[in-house]
Amino acid sequence: MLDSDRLYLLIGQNVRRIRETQTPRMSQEDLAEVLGLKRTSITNIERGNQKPTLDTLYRLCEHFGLEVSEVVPRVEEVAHVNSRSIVVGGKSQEVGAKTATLLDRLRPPSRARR
Amino acid sequence: MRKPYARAIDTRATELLRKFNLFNAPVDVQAVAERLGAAVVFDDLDDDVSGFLLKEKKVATIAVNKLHHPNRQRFTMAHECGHLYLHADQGDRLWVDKAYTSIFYRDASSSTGDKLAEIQANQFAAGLLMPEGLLREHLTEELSDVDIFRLALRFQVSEQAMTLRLVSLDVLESA
Repeated sequence: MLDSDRLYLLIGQNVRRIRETQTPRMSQEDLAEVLGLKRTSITNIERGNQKPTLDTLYRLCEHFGLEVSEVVPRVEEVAHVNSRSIVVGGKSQEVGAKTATLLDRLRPPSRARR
Repeated sequence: MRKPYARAIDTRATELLRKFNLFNAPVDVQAVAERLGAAVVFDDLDDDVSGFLLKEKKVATIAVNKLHHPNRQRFTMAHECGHLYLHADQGDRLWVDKAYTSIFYRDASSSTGDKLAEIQANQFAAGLLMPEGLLREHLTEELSDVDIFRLALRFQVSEQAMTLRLVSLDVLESA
């Protein structure tokens, strides 16, 4: 299952890192101008609160000479391919495969419990 | 200035350490967890999971992602101790601690109550790992970056966690 919040959070962190590691350090205003956006959009994108368009991402890469793969996370970083629903105390939540495996070990099926 | 709720949680963490005779730096946070009745397991968890607290049928287990930095593991244990101690009234429950979830990060799926619980658990963790009373014993007049580095080593926490703590205690000014 795709963790969309995490996807945009990670993209935002990358955008910020790219901007801040320029020498001299680039301001949000300057990046906004490069991308043809408002400064507040940069703030929101960097925080993961706004979804940058593909057009914006490619513009960013073009300007800084990067590949898109350097700005976006790997699929496995944002998708829990084997995520599972675990129910504890009547509440269901999604957990990743490794976490689910440990939970299985800690909570044997109720039939085997007695 | 610290908010009253933060001060109250700090006090509870310190009282707990004194009761368990664990009021020493670095705080033996695993011993705290065990004295609170939790079994602690270190395992390979998903990257984005720091750990979890599983409370079911009166059995409490704290799992820690053993692939994370040892300081992070200590913070995770302390955070789960916070859920165990502060949120004991919640009954059977699974608390999963996501590594990237900061208190500033808005997760659409979590309720206001859950977010408050996470903030409280983080506050408790800071109070447990860096009790004000112990910290003040180690403070020098002027704190340099090297002093903060030494303090972090002494308490076995990250420099970032130590800096945040010193700011929240008004020892350091926020950057």
